[in-house]
Amino acid sequence: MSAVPIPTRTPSESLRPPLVDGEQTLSSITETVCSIVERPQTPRAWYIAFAISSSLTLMLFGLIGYLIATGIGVWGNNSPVFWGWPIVNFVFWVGIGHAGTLISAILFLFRQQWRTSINRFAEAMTIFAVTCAGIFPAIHVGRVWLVYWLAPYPNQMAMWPNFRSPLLWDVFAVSTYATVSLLFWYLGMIPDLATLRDRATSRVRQFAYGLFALGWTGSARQWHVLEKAYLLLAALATPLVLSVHTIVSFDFAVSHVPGWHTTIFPPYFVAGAVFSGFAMVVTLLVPARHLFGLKDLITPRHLDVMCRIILATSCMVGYAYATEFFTAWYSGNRFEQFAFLNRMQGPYAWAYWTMVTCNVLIPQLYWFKRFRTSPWLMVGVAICVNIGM
Amino acid sequence: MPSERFHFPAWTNRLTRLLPIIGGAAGLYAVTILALGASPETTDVGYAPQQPVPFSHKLHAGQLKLDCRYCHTTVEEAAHAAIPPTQTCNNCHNPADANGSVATVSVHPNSEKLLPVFESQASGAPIKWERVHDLPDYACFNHSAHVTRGVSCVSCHGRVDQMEVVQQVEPLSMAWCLDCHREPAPHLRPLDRIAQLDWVPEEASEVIGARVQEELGLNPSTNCSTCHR
Amino acid sequence: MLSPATARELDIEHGDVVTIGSDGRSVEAPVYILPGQAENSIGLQLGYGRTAAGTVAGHVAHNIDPVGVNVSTLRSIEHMHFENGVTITSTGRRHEFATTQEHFAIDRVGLEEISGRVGDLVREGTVDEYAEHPDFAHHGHEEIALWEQPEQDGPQWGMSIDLSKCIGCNACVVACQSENNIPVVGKEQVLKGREMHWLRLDRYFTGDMDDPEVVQQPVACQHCENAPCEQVCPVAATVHSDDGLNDMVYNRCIGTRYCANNCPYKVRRFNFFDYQLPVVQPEQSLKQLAFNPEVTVRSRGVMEKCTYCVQRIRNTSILADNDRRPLEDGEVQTACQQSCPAQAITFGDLKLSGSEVATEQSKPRAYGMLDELNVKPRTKYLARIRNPNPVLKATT
Repeated sequence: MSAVPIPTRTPSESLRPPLVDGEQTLSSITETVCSIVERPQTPRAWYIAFAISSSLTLMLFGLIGYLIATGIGVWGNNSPVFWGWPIVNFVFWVGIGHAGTLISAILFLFRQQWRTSINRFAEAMTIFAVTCAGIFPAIHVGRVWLVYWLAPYPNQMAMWPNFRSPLLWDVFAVSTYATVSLLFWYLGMIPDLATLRDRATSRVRQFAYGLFALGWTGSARQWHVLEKAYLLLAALATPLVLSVHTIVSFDFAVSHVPGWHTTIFPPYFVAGAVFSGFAMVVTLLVPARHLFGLKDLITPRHLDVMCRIILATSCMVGYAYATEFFTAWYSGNRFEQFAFLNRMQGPYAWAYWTMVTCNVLIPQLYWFKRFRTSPWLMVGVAICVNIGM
Repeated sequence: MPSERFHFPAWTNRLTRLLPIIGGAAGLYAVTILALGASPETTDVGYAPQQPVPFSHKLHAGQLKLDCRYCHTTVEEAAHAAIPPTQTCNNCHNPADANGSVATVSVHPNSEKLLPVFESQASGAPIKWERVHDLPDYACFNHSAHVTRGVSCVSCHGRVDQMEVVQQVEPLSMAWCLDCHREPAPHLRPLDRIAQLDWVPEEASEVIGARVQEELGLNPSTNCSTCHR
Repeated sequence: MLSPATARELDIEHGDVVTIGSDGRSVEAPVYILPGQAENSIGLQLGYGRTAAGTVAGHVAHNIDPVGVNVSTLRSIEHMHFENGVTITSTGRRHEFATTQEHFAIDRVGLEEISGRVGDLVREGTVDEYAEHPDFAHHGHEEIALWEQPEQDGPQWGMSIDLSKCIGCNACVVACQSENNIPVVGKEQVLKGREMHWLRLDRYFTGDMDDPEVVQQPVACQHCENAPCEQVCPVAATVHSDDGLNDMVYNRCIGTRYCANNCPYKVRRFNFFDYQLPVVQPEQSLKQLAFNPEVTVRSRGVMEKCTYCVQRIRNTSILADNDRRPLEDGEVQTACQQSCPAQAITFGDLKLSGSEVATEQSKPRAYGMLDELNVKPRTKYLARIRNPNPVLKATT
C-alpha cells in the first residue's frame, strides 16, 4: 500500500473533528488493524477468556439438552406466565442485534463517515446476538422436534402454517434479518480479507483468507461492483432494521394480554432495541479498543457520538414508558390499569424500578460531557443500560 | 509481495462448468426427498405381515364369495371393524370333538394350517392376528360412519378378495383422507354395493356418487375434530 | 379453618402450623384462613391422614406419605362432632397449601383488584333487582360486528351455566378429569400454577371479609366464536369447526403456548412435563384401563383444554346419522353436565329452536363473561339471584 496521507480535514468538514487521531496514513491503519490478527503468538489472556466462554457455552448446550429431554417445566413458566424466561431472552438478544445493521445500513445511507471505525465490530456483534436470539424461540416450544412445522412446505397432512399468527411473521422476520446481516457483514469484509491474504506469510493463511476473499484483486471494476452491491444491500437492510423488532413487538401488541395490547409497542421496541444495541456496542468497544490498541482509530469522538445516540434513544424509551401508563389510564380499562399498577407496586416492582432507573435515569448522565469522554464512566452507564434491559 | 498472493488459480475457472451438475444434483435431491416422502416405504403401502394362520381372503372372499360382514360383523354399527372370534372360523372348520368324531359338514377338520385355530378353540385364548391397517392413536376412524354412507370397503382396503395375504394398498395419510372428504362423489356407491369389492359401476362413478351423495345428504366434514379428539 | 377475625385475635397467619389440643389429646395441622368460617371456631376435616390408602392418598408401609392430617384422634365418644374448649398454639412452622384458588391473587393490591372485578365476572342480583330489571346482568357491551358471520349448516353447540343453581361442589371438575384423561400433576406442580383441570371452579368472597358472601363460577373453555387463541397459533393447531367448537388438535400442537397467553379466560392447560408418562409405561397396563379410549392421551409439550366433550358429540352424531335421523335435544351430554347434581349446566344445539340450551341462553339473566372483548363466548352464564330469608339475615 502506498503512503497516501488521509485527508483528515476537508474544507467543508473543517469544523468537524477528524475521523481518526494521530498522523495516520492508509498503510498505518492497515498495519494497526492487521497486527491484531497477525500476532505470531496468541496471548495467554485470550486462551483464558476463550476457555471461560467456551465452557459456559458448553454448559448452555448441556442445559438445552436437559431442557429438551425433560420438558419446558424445567423453567419456572406456569399459567398464566406461559413465556417468561425464553421470551425475555429472545427480545433482549434481538434488541442487542439491532445496533449492527443500524450502524451499517442506516448510517451508511446517511453518509455518516464515522461509522466506518465501528461498523464491522457492531455487525459481528449483531450476528452473534441474532444467533442467541434465534435459539430461544426454537427451544421454547413444547415439542422442539416438530418446529419445522413452522415452515410452509408441501406435506402429507395437506397443512399450511397459520399465516395470521404474529409468531409466524416473527419466524420470517428474524430469519430474514439474520441472513441479510450475515451477507452485509461478509460483503463488507471481502476487501479486508483480501488485504489480510496479501499480507499473510504462511501458506495456510494465504489459502484460508484467499478462499474467503473470493479472488478480490482490488481492481476499479471490482470496487465499483462491490460498492453498488453494498449500497443495494444497505437499502434492503434498512427497512429490516425497523421491521424485525416491529414484528417482534407484534407478538405482544397483537395479543389480548393487558399491558401488551397497545399500539405504542412497535416504535417503542425499535427505540429500545437501538438503545440496548448501542449500549452493548459501547460495553464491548471500550475494553476492546483498550486491549487491542485501537485508541487512535476508535476515537473519543466515536464514543461521544454513540453516547449521544444512547441518550436520545433513552429519552424515547422513557417517553414510551410514560405513554404506556397514560394509555392504560386513559383507556379506562380496569385490566390494563391493574397491569400497570401491579408493575409499579406488585411483587416485581423492584424489577420495574431497576429498569426505569437503569434505562431512563442513569443514561441522563450522558448530558454531562465528562460521562461522554471518560471511557470507563461511559461503560458503567452502558452496563447499567444492559442490566436495565 | 504480489507474487505471494493467493488468488484462485486459473484451473478453478473450470469448476464453473460443474455448476450445472451441482444444480442438477440439487434438483435430484429435492425430487428424491419428495419421492421418498411419498414412497410406499414411508407410507407403509405394501405392508403385508405374516399372519399366525395363513388365512386366504382370496379364497374366502373371492372364490367362496363370503360377505366381508360375515366375519367383520360390527362395521355397520361401530367404529371398530371387529376381527372375528375363533368361533366364527369354527362355524365351518370344526375340529374333531373329544371322542374323535368329526361333523360331516366340517371343512378341513384335520388341516395342519388350521392347528392354531383349533388350539385357540380348545384353550379359549384368541388368535394373535397381526394388524395391517394401523392408524395413529390420535386419528379416530369410525367404520360405521363410512360404510353406512356409501364408502365401500374397497376404497381403503383395496381388492382384499384378490389377496392371498392381506396388505395395505393405500397410504392412509392425512392428505389422502382429505382428498375424499373434500371431493367424496367419485368414491361413493349405492349402499347395497358396499361390500361388493368387484362391483363395476354402470355409469361414471362420479355420477353415481353424486346421486348417492344427494340421496343420503352427505356433506363430509374437514374439521380437525372430525378425526382428532 | 379459621375465620379472619379469629386468626387476627390469635395472631395466626395463613399457613401457620398449629397444635390443636383438647382433653389432653392434640394434633398438629396447618391453618387455612377462610372468610365465612364461624368466628371463634375451628373447622377440621375428617378423612385425611390415612396411612394405608394407596399410591395417591398415602401408604406408610410403602413410603408414600399420607395426605393431610388425621384429626380423628381428637374425637371421643362424648364429642363425636363438636368439641368445646380446644386450645390452639402456634408451632412456629409454616405449611404451603397447594390450592388452585389463590394463584392469581399475587399480593394485597392484587386481591383488592380481584374483589373489584368480581362484580363484572360473576354477576348477581337480588330478587327485587330481578323483578325491577330482569336484564340487570347486561352491562351494555353490545358490539357491532365488522363483518357478517357466515351461516353454518348443522348444529351450533353451546352451553349455559346457571349460577343460581351452582352449589360449587366440584363434581363437574372431577367428571371432566376422568372423562378427558386429564393428568393428576401433584402438589409441586399445583404450587407452581400448573394444574391441568380443564374446568376450574372460581371462588370469590365479596363484601366484608368478616361477614362475607361467597360466589363461585365454573370456568372452562368458552368456545369463543371470535377466538383469540385461534388467530395466534402459528401451526393452526387450534381452529374453529363448522359447528362452533374451538377444536384443539393435540397432534398438530408444537407447544408455543401463544394461545394460552392470548386466552382471556386462562382456561388453556399446558403439559409442562410428560405428566402421563408414569401411566403409559407398559408395566402400568392395568392403570391404562382407567383411560377413556375415545380421548387422546396428551404427551409432553402440547396444549389442551375443554373440548365440550367433542368425542361425545362426534360419536353421538355418527350414531344418529347412521340411523338417518337428526340429533335430539339433550342427546349429547357433556361430562360436567351429566355429573352436576344441581343441573346447573345445560348443553346442546343453539340453532335448534326450543332446545334447552337455547331457552336458557335467551333468558334475561344470561350474560357472557368478559363479553366486552367481543370474543363471543358460546358458554353463557345465568346471573345468580340471591333471595336470603329475611329472618335468617336479621339474626346474623
